[in-house]
Amino acid sequence: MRRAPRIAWPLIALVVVLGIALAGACGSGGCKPSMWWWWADGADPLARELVLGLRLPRAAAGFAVGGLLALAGALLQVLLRNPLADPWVLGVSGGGALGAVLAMWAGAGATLVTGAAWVGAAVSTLLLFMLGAGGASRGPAHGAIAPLRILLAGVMLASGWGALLTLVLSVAPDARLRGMLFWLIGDLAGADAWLAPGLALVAGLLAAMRLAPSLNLMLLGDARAFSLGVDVTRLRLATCLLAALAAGFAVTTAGAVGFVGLIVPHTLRLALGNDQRTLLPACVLAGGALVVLADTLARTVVAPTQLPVGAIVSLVGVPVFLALLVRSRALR
Amino acid sequence: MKPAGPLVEWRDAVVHSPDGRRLFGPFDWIVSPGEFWCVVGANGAGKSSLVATVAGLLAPRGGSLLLAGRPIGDYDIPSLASVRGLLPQSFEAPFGLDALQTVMLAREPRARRWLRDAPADRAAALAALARFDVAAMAGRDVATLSGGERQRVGLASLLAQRPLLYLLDEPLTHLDLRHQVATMRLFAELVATEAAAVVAAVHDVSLAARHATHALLIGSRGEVWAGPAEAVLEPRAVSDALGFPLRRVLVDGAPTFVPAGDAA
Repeated sequence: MRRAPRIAWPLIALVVVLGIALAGACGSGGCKPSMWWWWADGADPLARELVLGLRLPRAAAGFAVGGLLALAGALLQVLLRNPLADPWVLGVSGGGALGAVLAMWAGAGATLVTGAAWVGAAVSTLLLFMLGAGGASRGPAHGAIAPLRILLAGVMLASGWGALLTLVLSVAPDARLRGMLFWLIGDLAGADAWLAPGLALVAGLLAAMRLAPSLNLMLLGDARAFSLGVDVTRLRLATCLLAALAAGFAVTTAGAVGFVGLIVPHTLRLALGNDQRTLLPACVLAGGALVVLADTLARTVVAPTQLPVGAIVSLVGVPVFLALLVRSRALR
Repeated sequence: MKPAGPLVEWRDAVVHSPDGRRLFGPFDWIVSPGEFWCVVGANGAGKSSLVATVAGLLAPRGGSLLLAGRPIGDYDIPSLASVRGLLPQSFEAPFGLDALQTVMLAREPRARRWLRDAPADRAAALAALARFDVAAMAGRDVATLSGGERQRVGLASLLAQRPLLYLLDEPLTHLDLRHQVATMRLFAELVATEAAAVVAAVHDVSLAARHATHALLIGSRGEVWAGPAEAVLEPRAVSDALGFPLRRVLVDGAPTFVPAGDAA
């Protein structure tokens, strides 16, 4: 059996450390490793405020968002037994963004906007499984959810939400437009609320690890998993709920960042194998590091202008998705 | 552990389809350790529904169904896994697992959920693969195997589960002739040496007649014959059930069913 190569974990740890180090050192004034010596005598008095007050909270929020998205993506991929599943591709993130934008259009405050993003993500997930689970009432033998059907339903939902978002944006007053674009593309600018997504990440990972042994059996298909002792219906519900919660927290923090849940689990599955007890924590670490790195790039590459992190991640994500599509057996 | 009584005891059995249509029955059916049952019937007769009901995938709608002496409804899902194992029709390729992992996952309840297991589990999994002639593919992603090789990996994973009752829904699908015979021989040997029983839905009446100890034949009007294979697999009943005239001939002393000539 293929085991995780010895090099994999140190490599993931290195990427995480590198991501955080760069996030602290880099800004509109270029990358200065000396920023980290803010505590030393004679250091730049601004460094402390920049690193502790601005960059680290943003990096923490980015890490939590990336970890949550990668976790949601990994769970959805096991559920659909397809590497193309991802909260953004399946319209979960889009539903959250639409909820937020609609609330903003109506002039709601920040709390209500966050709540609306939640509702949007949850409604989208529910719709997804209602559309995809045709015949699910006939029991695990014949009611196996049709992964391909869910995938197509998700892609359609995502473009539907996209169309509605564009509609709202085109009639929205100019003053609110910039804030709305945040939800559409996914942006960490001004995201300093790292505590809630951070706690959600820890709780989500712990819950996912409890499900991991059963998720391994789910890789064999519904009927075989059931015959080996898995309560397929309950596990599917729990996994689906967990993925929606994780994606919901990510969307309320940074808007609809796409493709993290696609790139990270797929790459790590190739490197580590498909044992969910290894894969899920690895996804959380690597997903977090990816978003932190992408965000550091986004705010330095054309400084002082900040790019939305979602745009950077999507630039990588689209080719990866297409490469997966070309190689996919299920869609041939 | 040898169970005292029968593994399957289904009185007044009526088999229904997943959407609730009555398919065939009523009949009484008892499967004891040491028996190798083949279920024979036309497409859509209800072979898969019979297997799925005994596996616990469909709730029995007619009669009282006992597995190893307990009503099937009294089992929780994990404890059912140590009584019966199911190979679903056309075993689907698992997502991102190699052949050895696929078999390892089916190991005994204490260990089966872990992909990294004791050397004993690994050895048992490799042995199961070897018995179905796919040990050379142990490290390959199951999705990249041919249909027949994938089916044999599925069979090996069932063997590694070591249930008391093996439920096989068309186990010979995609297998070449050599492996069809080898698979039937393997299960015949299994029930002879262990306290296990096999129920297999098959289409090849000749292989059923040669290797099974018992047969359950589903007639064209929903009637059921269940009993020793040589008594049940009788040319007239089989011809009627399958909707095509068959002759039984002996080839080297073994019963063989061949389609009747055009004149028939």
